[in-house]
Amino acid sequence: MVALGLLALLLLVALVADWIMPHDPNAQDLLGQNAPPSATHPLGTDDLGRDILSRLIDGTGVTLLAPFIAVGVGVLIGLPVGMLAGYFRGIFDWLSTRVADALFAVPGILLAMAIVAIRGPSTVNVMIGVGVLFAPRVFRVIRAEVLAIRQATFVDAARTIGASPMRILRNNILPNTAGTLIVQCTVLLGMGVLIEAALSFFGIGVQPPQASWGVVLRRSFDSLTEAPMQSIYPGIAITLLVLAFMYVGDGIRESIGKEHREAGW
Amino acid sequence: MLRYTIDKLLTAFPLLVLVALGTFGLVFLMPGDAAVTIAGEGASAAQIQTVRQDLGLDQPVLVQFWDWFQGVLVGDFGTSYSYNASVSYLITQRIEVTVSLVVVGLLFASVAGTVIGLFAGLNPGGPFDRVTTLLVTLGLAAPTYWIAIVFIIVFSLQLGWFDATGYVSITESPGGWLHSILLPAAAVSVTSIADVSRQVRATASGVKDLDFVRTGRALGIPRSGILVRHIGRNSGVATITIIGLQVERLIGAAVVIEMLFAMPGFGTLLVNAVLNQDLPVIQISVLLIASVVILTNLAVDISYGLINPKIRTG
Repeated sequence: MVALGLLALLLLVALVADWIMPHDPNAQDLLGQNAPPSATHPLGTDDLGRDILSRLIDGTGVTLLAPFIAVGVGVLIGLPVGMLAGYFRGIFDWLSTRVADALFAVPGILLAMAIVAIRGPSTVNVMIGVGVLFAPRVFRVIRAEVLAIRQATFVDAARTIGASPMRILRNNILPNTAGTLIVQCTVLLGMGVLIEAALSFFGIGVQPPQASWGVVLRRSFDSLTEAPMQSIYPGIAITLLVLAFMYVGDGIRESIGKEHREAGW
Repeated sequence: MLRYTIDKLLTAFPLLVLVALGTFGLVFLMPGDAAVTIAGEGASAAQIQTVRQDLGLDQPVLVQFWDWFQGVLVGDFGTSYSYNASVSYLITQRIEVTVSLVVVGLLFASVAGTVIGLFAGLNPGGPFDRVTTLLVTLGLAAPTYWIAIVFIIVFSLQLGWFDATGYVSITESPGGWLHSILLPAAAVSVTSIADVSRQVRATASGVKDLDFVRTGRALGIPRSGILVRHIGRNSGVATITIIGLQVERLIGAAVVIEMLFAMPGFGTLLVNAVLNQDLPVIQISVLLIASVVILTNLAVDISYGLINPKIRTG
């Protein structure tokens, strides 16, 4: 519940960001660089004299939105392919499982980097890249789930009354995979936050002047010796957000009565 | 055992070819005409045509793939667009840093992860278990490079124990190498330590209540003997699986951490390649890393058969 509350709070912050920011997040103050926390700048300023709290508030929206785009793309690819592979088996299943295995062998951040290299850096490109990387993870859990469900009596019953495979997949199997899918999505959302942060570190994720928490953390690294505390706030913010996704996932898992599964981190 | 090994080899090989095909196919994802992009802005039609012919882009796709793949098999990795040097030279020059990080990180992850997980799992709910569970959760949620930044602040800037940047080659000075690698390797391995110890904890707490452990205890076998021979061996398959999975994670993390500690490794090469659309470097890097991961998984699969005879016959 605490985790859900935190997510709701962050969503609210993202929605009303323009009204609650104490300063313009892009306003530079070259005389007040790397200032320590004070009454006017509660978290201090960065190396261009920009208010860090305002930049974190401004970046909340992108930081929240980015992992949702990635998970959306991952589900869009992984869910239908996983359902078809699990239901029809055969050569399609064999081939898609091999492709998923191959994608699994490439570290996530590398795959995202390769896609950025080809399509050019932008928040959307990066998150689509991350989504492609999430697809085999969605594919695996959904395929495994469908393999189990297709043996169930109600699927047999539907087949007996002459329901078409598409109707069985849509009406009988899809609703029964929903729980697993939602839990897997919360795991991936947390991963998405971490990958976005890492890509922003290289300057190939969210592009300036737009801020995300990863971008703020990256910027703070340049002033590490002068103002080490600057790096602490965005890091804590990212960790809390990932924790919130993890706990929400655990909560859903418990409430739908699935036994603990390997989360796939 | 031989049959089992051959079986596993036969599944790994098509996977490698598939990854090769995928990395080769990256060139077709380039927006517009690849030759135009590679030739750069303002290139004349003749220059573009030269690039097209040099890269064989006017050939059928399968011919292109076969030419490229043949080269890769004999170690001809092509030429980087941006460095104007052969890709194999660029990679051999930088591979030592990344291998050092991953190997030392893997050592940390397996030793610390197993020890923490085992002691937490033997006494679930105890004070040690509670503290480590909290730390493990935090370790999984925090971004790796933020942990590295915190390490730099504490151990380099405050305590002054380590240098915040740089790398000393092991051939130059083994002592200096160890000193330069410890902090980044520790940062790289935090998430992996958390992951391994979580898995080992779950397995150990399940195994420790089984009948043969109770019987062993009743027979008066010393605690350490039970720990190693009965609990250890029976958690072996799960532990090796999770340690094997860390290789992929550690390589991904090493790329980031190298940049952070200004170590001249694979990461720097790769990020420059990404920013300059240097496709040959990216293709070979992805292929190389994926091959390492696939071969690790193969080794893990084969080790199952060695640990547990049931798997190799079943």
